[in-house]
Amino acid sequence: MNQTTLHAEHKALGAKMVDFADWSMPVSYKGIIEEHNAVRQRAGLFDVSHMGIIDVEGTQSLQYLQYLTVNDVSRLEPFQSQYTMMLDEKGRVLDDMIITRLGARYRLVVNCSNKDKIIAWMQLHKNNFSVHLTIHDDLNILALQGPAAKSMLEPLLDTLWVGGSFNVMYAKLAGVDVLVSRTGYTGEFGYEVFVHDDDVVKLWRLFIEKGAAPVGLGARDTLRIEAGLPLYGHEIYGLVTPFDLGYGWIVKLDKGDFIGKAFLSRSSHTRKLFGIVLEEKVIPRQGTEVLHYGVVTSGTFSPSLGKSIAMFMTQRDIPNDRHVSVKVRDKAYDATIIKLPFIKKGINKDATV
Amino acid sequence: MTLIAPNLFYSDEHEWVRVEGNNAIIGITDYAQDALGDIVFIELPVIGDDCTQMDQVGVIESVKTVSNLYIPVSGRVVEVNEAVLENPSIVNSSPYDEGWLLKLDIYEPAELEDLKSSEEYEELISEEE
Repeated sequence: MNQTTLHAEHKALGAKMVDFADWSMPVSYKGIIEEHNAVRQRAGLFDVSHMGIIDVEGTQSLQYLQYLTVNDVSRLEPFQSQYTMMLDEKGRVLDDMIITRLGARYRLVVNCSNKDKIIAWMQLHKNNFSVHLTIHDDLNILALQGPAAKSMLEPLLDTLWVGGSFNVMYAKLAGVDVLVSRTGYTGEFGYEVFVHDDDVVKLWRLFIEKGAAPVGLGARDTLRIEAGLPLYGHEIYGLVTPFDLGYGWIVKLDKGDFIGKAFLSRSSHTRKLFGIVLEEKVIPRQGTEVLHYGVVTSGTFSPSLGKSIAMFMTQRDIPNDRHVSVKVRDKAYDATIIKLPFIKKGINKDATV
Repeated sequence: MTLIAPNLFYSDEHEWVRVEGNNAIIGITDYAQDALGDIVFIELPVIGDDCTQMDQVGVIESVKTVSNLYIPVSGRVVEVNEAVLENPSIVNSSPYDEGWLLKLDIYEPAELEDLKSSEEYEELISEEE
């Protein structure tokens, strides 16, 4: 089983470890709810070094990525990122990812569970392009998320942070070379910091010393569900399209040819991802039936709302506030359909200033 | 460190039984609550229900996962801990005391012999750990 460079740090903090896509990862340290609340109220620190980091270099990097992804990579300014997806010819989503333009190079961050598949796919299609791929097993990603993240991280930088959301910057952070990105997967203000194996323990300990709570995969899931963010293998599966997920804006049909374009051009826009909120605290997990409407893709207990919540895909024209039933262990429970997200981004915005 | 209360009976499914006269008070162990994490929903039988040893009679749901509650000893339900139904996190904070789940009238005291002692249970969880 694979381990991140911080494995011993997680063990020392008493983390419960789980097998996640053949990686031993912390699921929680002190408890999912406590860690969740730390991110919403102050700041949490995640080791997400299991994710795949792929750099693309060469004179035809732009053309290559334009052909492989649905978003318009030519719109990226240097040190800017975009959310995008890779599809196969039949329209199946291979993965969702973030592409960042780093001067002449591009960096892709892909899901851990899809890393090998994406690398194979990218290698399969690179023969017609003058490009070179580098898989970065030597880099780690620390996510520092929450309203206090700004005051915790920015004073440690040797350069003034000037970018906004989905911008990145090379800097020294407490004397360590890093790439700082204003991205995250929690619905809170935050950063993702790319740092080399040699320096990651130092930064991990420093952020904890500054008051960030270590947060495991358990709270990463509750946070992203509250924020209505899709996850590959849950909301993203089979022939679900970016349109279905509410990410139609990432599809740029006018940018030229790309894999999946024919499928997306003729796909209907009849489905949409919705949320449900339950009266009871029983948790409608993935696969739970929403009677007459669909099937739950992700469900959890929302620590912020104190209620059980879930996401599911159904017809686009369903009115909000419609009352439905979900069937858990042969019992029906009342629920109400709502528009995503469950928690608006930057609920604690005031605290970020 | 996992806490094991002395003088209780334990099941392989990580339930404990405290015998008081003809009553059995049932809960889940510290090991079980720790493995589940934050408990948010509990489903229990109601007063008057007849339960047979090893029946699945309830559900304990945490943010992370869901676990079945099995009856360690046959009996009729005479009391249910309403406080844990209202606030399931009590099971996390006090698994052997305030976090008890059910009180039964025991039908067959001999069934208690199927259960483990504190020492035997300690051995079981040290193997699982």
